[in-house]
Amino acid sequence: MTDMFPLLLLLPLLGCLFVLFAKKNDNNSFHVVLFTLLSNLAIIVRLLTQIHRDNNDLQSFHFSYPWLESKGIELAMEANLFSLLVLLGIYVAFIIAVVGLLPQQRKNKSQMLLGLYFIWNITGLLCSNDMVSFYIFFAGMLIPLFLLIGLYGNIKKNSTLYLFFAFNYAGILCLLTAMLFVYKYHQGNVELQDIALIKMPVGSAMVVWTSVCMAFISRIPIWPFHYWISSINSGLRSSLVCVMTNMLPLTGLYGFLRFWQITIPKGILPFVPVVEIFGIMTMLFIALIGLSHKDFLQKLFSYNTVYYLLFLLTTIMLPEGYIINIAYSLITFLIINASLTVLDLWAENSCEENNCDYRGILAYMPRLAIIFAFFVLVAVGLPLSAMFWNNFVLISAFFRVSFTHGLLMMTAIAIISMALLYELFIMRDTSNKNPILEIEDISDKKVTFFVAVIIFLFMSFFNPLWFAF
Amino acid sequence: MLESIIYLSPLIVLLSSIFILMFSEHNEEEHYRCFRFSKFMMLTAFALTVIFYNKPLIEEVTLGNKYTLLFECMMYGGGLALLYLSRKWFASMGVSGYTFCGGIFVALLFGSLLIRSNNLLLSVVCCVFMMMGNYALLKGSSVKKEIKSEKIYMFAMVFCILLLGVSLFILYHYNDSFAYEQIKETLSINTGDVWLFTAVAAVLTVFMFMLGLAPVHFWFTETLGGTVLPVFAYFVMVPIGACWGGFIRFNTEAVGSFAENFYLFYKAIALISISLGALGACSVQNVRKILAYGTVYHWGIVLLVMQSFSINAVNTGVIYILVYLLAMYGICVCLFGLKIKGEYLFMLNEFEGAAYKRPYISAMMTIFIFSLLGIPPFLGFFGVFSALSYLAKHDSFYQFGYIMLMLIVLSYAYVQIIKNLYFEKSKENFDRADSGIYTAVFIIALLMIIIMLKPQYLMQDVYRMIESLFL
Repeated sequence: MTDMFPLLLLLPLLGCLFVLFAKKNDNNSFHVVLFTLLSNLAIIVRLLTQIHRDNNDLQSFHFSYPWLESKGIELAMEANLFSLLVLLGIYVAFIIAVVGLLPQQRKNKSQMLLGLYFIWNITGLLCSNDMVSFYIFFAGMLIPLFLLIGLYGNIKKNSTLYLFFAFNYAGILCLLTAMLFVYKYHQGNVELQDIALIKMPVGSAMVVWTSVCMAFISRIPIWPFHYWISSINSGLRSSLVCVMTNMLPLTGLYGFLRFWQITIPKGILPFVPVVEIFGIMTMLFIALIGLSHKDFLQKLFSYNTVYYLLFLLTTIMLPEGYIINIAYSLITFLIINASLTVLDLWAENSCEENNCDYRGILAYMPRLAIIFAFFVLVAVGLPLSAMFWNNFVLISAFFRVSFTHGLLMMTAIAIISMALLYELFIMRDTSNKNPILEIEDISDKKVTFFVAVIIFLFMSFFNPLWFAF
Repeated sequence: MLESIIYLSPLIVLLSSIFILMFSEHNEEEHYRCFRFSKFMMLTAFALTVIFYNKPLIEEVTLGNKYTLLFECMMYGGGLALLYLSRKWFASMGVSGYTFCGGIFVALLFGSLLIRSNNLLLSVVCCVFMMMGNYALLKGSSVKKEIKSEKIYMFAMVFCILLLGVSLFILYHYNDSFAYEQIKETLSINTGDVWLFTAVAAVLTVFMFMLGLAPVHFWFTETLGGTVLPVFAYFVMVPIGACWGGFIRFNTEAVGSFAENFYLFYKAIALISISLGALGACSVQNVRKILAYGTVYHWGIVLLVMQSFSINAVNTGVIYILVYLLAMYGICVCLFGLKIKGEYLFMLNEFEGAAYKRPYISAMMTIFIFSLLGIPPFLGFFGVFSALSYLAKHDSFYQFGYIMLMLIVLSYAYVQIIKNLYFEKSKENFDRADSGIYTAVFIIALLMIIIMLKPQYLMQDVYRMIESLFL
């Protein structure tokens, strides 16, 4: 079974190669991407099944590649329960995003190629177990994302696009700084969990951990760095690119989780309260912005930010035991996120095609309305998926640590939930007397697909690993 | 005697090629003949160079080893690639390629000698001829009738020749010999001598001028922005190997421990180059100028890393040079593949929407640009990794931070190229690129993939070659 693990990384690369030589303006590249995603999903489920069957949560799968032996660099890859669970969420989210592409978008070869390359990078990031491979995949993600946002982001200001690049590039260079300092004191590559154990002077430790923090914060829209990530989200109209940008903070969050696996390093300890305060303030601030926004995708961006910050604060403030709750929550969170993005883009597309108002659109599309409502209700935290239990555990733990912190977080979550519910109300509201009589609802195939996703989520309410047989 | 002539055969081939090209009939319609002949002669010279790499070309004044072979390979590789790429340009423009091919042979001839030289007089002669060859190429190939910087180049060249003359005179006065070994001995005894310091500084300044390092970079950035594409490609592909090879050799074999006096000088030059390179690239709209300023930035990093000229410093610098050269070869190939109505592109706005018309070439150009920025998994990562890890290892934290900062600044200029390639609508119809361009891009990409998968070819084998300089 371990032999299947390298395939996880190999398949997306092979897929890229096939897409590269696929015909233009054809669905071939779309099929290649879908096939790659499904194959990798099957491998992930199989690996999870093995862990579940052996009843050993600490079990992991390994492989290594002797890359640069003279410099002591061997690339070590590892998949454990946490990374596999997050990968599961990511792959299901990507499948939803790819299925959600409009017919014209499916024929877009460059989008498919860059999307698959991004998937390869994010898979590698979640499987990397050493500093160098982590850096390579962390940095590699910027290229497809930058190109896709530039191509499909409808960004009018040149400066916005460049600042997005520069901000992320600076983050990459920060991680490179940390990596080179660690390399200097360890004389070779080092596994991620051992970084905190390396002995180095106080000043150097400070540089390493500050650089690590800056690198990951560059991916998480925490105040005052939130603007460059939020500004690129507004014009996106491709479900694949939307899902990709929404996963950007996940890479930062995962970085924190891996680097601070055992404990928060001493070098950065004095700054932790500052990050906590900024994190909670950003949660409230972004939730309020989400409430005031009129665009659903912007509200969804705010929702994502609030939840990513919740997970980040869990990493910083709560003991290690809660990490698995983040993983279970993340699966549902990523799926909800992708589903809502796709459904909203379908609704918007229907409005454009029929030249009608966005307000009340769901009243004319009953099938879409039911599915949309389900996902909004799951997103706001109703007991319909594993997210309910895990968020309950996390927030109650926050209340135990600090009542004020817990209360503020709860307030932020309540505000952003209200924002989503209000949007659902707007989309079903027919008071503006939209003159349209008939709008084509989503097809049977799409309904079947989303019913399967709903069943997947609903079953996770009872057992998050129900599919691992 | 016969043995010496055989060892001299690469030079004989190069020299005879120059004469044949000079005296043959310059027939513009049969340009392919000149290129075919040049390719054949260059390949022959290259093969002979590789076979006799460790034999002295000229007894007592040259010495060949694996180090010299490495830099000669850089030169010949660039020269061959250039001949392969530029043939179409001369064909489409209806211009005779005899002068151009002759110029490349001049660079190869004197470049090879410069790399192998362990005698200052020979090195100076080579530098002078290379500069004159460069000037001839610049003069005969500018797009505009007259580029102001050409004149400046000529004056600077004359000044450089004077500087070299003065330094030769001073050093001969102290040594009675031009041998590197002898100069090293004298310098190690007279560490505080102002005249010797001045003489060595003059020679180093000339090398820096040839490399295009700031503040004597003006000719490099200005003229490259206005020259035709083959000449631009020549300057970023061919003389680089010779200049760096000769510069490193002069520093290690002639300057030796005296180099400590130049640490501050090197650091200042390197930091100025890094700053001017990054900021200059952001201030121009001409793509070739952006790339030229980028080169100034990258050479600044190389000089900053190599300032001590220890084996590790040189190894790091050479890795950076190799990675840079490979990326620049790639970019030059892509520039040869992008043209509108037979005209090769200069300005940023001319590249608008190229990705929609020429997707593969644009994609490769983007990859090479990202490689120059050191973003993994592309090859440039090794260069940045080597240089920065070297600086971190030697506690040069401020320089480390400054390079990073300027890299972010430089990224603005490079991103502008990508932005125009991808994010702007295409207004023009790009000409069809011939299969040779795709073949060249494919070969470079393949080379990059091989090195990325097996980086020991770059990181370990290069070290073994550099080692021979210090034995």
